[in-house]
Amino acid sequence: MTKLIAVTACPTGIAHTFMAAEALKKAAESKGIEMKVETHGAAGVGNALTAHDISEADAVILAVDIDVDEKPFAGKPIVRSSVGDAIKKPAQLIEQALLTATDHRKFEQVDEGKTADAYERVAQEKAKRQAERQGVYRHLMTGVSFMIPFVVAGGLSIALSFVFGIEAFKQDGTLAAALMQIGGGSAFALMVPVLAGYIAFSIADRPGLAPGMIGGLIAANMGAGFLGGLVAGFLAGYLTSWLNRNIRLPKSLEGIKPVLILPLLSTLVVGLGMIYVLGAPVKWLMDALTSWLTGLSGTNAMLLGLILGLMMAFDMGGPVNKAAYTFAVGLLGSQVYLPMAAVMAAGMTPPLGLWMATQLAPKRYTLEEREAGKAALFLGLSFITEGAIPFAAADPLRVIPSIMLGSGIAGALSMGFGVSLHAPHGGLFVLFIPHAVDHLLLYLVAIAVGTIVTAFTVNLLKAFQQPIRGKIDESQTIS
Amino acid sequence: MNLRPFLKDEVIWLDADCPSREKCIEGLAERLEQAGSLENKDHFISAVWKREKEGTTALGFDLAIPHGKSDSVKKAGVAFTRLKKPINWHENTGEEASYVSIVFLLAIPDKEADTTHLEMLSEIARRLMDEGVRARLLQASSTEEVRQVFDSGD
Repeated sequence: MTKLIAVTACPTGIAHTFMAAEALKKAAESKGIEMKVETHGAAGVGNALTAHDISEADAVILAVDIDVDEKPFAGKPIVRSSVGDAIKKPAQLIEQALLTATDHRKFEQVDEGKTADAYERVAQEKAKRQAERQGVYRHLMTGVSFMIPFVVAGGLSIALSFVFGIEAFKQDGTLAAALMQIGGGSAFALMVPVLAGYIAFSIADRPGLAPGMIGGLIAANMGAGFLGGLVAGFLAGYLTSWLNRNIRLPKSLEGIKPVLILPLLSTLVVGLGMIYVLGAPVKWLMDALTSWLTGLSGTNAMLLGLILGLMMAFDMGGPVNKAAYTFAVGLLGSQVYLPMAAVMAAGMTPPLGLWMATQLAPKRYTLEEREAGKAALFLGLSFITEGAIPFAAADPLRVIPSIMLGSGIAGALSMGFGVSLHAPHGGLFVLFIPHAVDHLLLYLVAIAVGTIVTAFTVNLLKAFQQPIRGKIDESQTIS
Repeated sequence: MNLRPFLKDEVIWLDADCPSREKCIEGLAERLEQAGSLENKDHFISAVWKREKEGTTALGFDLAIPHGKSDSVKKAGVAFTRLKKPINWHENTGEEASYVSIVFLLAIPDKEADTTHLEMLSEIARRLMDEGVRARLLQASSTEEVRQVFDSGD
């Protein structure tokens, strides 16, 4: 059965929003279509759509006169209209939505068969995973995604400062010093507060931001690093959201709750909690972690690289991958740069290896996989591990162990060579920036070895596969 | 949802003799003032006109729902009129004619922490999308019957 969802929103949020919602619901009912409408009114969001509603829906109608966040609907067919049109001609909008949904299904079927759009599929998969994120993981990823630009700006400014010599920034008034002030003094100083602030923001909405950021800054100043930021962010978020729900004021005083009571109380509790209770143990843990990581060498370093590498490839952009990635990015703020290099190398080899595999033994791959292989080359070079997904989805038992092996080796080699990376992303392109990566040649060796291991392993495993698709494929190739 | 507290006698204006949109909004605003919803009637009316200029509030169905959101509104309220003769809500606007005989004027406070009243206003707007509700409003012969129209419904 066809399912539609809609969002209605107008500037005042009193009358038209609700009239449009009602009109759409009635029109859907008369056509026997299931429809859920989310209203963005002056009194807040009504009848909110869940991730489940969105994934079940065949199409989305956005009847809005103001901006609404369209990210949750990524990959869905969307029909846009004004609120007025939804009130006046709801039936027409529904027809249009049904039509778009049908087109979209056709497109998807075509898309399954042909893969000029391998990029599109990877993007869709990423959007789908983002929409499905739940609870603690979603809050963490919100914080991390807001933090990344700070880490990019900071890490690369520091790298550029090293162009003038590793110690050049110590000379006041030089460009090197200025770059270090931008990167190390400012961007990296904001990194942990932003992480904590947006974790809390994700949990408690706007009231969470202030206590989260303030708690994060306290953690950073105490030297508790990104672990302190995580603690402050989650504490601030859950605390503020609890306070918001449980503080009841007389109506006449209700207005001062968001502007006075919530920020003051939550910031005090988080701040005092960080300073007197949580800060010290978290700092101890962070110091222990940092000194262990900086002291790592030889086998132990390679073992850590191996584990990070296995995690990066295990679910290609899923929670395990993101856990390893977050760990490495968080450490950049504490001047620990080796795990970042290992993680990026390991994140690049799965798509790169699969590209190479399709080049070495094209006959073992369907036409669409060969096409996806070309896309995987560029996705891999850009450090988008998700480029391996089309292969893993088709043949997980052969592909996932192969890419894990390749990534594990790439990670272990990178750690073993002592390669450090100052930027949290960028793939091959960041390597062109001087000093973003140390031991560039050895780093390329690590990535190349991981890629080759992946390609040979997966082709070896594919050799045991019955060539059931062979005939169809050949005919497709000829046509 | 009980909407009766919103629909007191003084805000229901049956068979009004209004020649124009201006007169209609003016008359309804007077009633909202009498009901104690407004701090300053003129300020409120200019808020309503500001909203009308942003986009029409007559969207067919014989119905217009003008509204103003302003700090001159003391408490959320609504005034209702049924016109003796339908008027063209879009007269002198250059827009396609839209005749209305049912008009609800909503007064929305600028800041109101408690959302109950806003939800009640939305509920009235929502119910007006029902053809049966509109038909009964056109036939109501007393203020009590108008209230009864909104008693039913989910």
